Amino acid sequence: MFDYVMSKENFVGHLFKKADLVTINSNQYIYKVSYDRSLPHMTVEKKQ
Amino acid sequence: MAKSHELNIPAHYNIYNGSNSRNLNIYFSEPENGVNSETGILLLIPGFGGNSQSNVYKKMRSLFADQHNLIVVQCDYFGSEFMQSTNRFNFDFEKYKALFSANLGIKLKNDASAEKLLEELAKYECVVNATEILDESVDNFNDMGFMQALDLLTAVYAVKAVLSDNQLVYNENKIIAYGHSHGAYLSLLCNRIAPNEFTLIIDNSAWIKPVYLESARCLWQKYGKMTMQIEFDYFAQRYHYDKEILDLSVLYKNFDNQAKITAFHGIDDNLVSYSLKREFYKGIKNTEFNLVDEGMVDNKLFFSSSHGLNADF
Repeated sequence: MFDYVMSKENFVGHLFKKADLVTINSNQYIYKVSYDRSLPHMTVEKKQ
Repeated sequence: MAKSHELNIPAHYNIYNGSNSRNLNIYFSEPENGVNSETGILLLIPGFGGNSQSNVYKKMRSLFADQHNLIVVQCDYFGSEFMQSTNRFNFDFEKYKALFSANLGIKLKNDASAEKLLEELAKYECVVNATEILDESVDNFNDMGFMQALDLLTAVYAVKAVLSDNQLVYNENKIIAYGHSHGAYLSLLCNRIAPNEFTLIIDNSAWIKPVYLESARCLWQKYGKMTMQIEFDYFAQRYHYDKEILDLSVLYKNFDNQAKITAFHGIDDNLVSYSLKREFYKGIKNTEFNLVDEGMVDNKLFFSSSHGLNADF
C-alpha cells in the first residue's frame, strides 16, 4: 500500500493540524518549536 | 498479519551544533485489514536497553496494529544506540592481572591478552569494574532530551504524511504514545513540546529527570562466575548544555495539559521514587496515577512491582 518514498522536498507543503508555536523558557534559553513545515522545528535562543 | 514498513528521512537538525547531516530510520506497521477512519496511531518509545529492533518491540508493532487497529510507529531516535547493553569496554588490565596473581598465586604469561585474563577470571566469583567505550560526540550522543523528543515527533509526523499522501483517513483523535522508563519520560517530553498532538500518553515508570545526566549508568553482566560492572559515562554528563529544563516538574509547571495521561509505577521502583512521581502528577490535569504493588503482580498484566514492571508482551 505504501509505495511512497519520503524526501525532504515532500514535506514542504504538507499541512496538518498545527500546534501553536510552543515556547519554553528556561533560565538561560528560549526554546521555540514550530510546525510550520509540518515537521517539528526547534530553535534555541540564548537569553540576553 | 500486520504489514511492516520502513522509512529513512532527513532528521531534525542538531540543536547543539547546527549540523544538518543526520537521517532518521522510522518503522511502522499497519493493520492487516488496512487503515480506516477508526485507525489510530501508537508511538512506542523504548528506554535504556530496548530499541526498534528488539524482538519485543517488533512483536508489539505487529500485534498491536491488528489487535487494536493502530498504525504502530517507532524510530531510532538520537543517541539511542548508546543506550543499549555493552558493546566494547575498557578495564584496568594491569591491575586485574596483578590481583589475579596475588590472590590466586597464578601467573599469567607476560604476553597474555585481556581476553585471556577475563577468561581466567570468569572461573572465579569476583567483580571486575569496566568502562563502556562510547563513541559519543556533540554530533551524536544520548542527550536524554529535546533531540530525542524531536526525532520521535518527526516519526509521528512523517507517518502522518505518508497516510495523507496515500489518501488514507485515520482517527486523528486517537494518537497514543507508550513509553517505558526513559521512553516514558520522552513521551511526556514530546507531549510538552507538541501539546495538541497526543490524546493519550501511557507512562510506564518514567523518571522526572534523567538520572544519567548527572551520574553514570551501571550494568552488571555475568561471565561465568565473574560479574562485570560496566559504567556508562555519558557525554551528556560532561557536555555543557541546558539540563535544568529537562526536569519534568519544571516543564509541566503551569502547563495546560490536554492529553490524557495514564501512569503506572511500581511501589518497589528503586530508580524512581513513586512518591515523587505521585506528587508530580498531582498538579497536572487529565492524569491518572496507578501505583503497582506486589498484590497486583499477576504475571499477566504486571510482572513485577519494580522499575519498568518487567513489562513484556
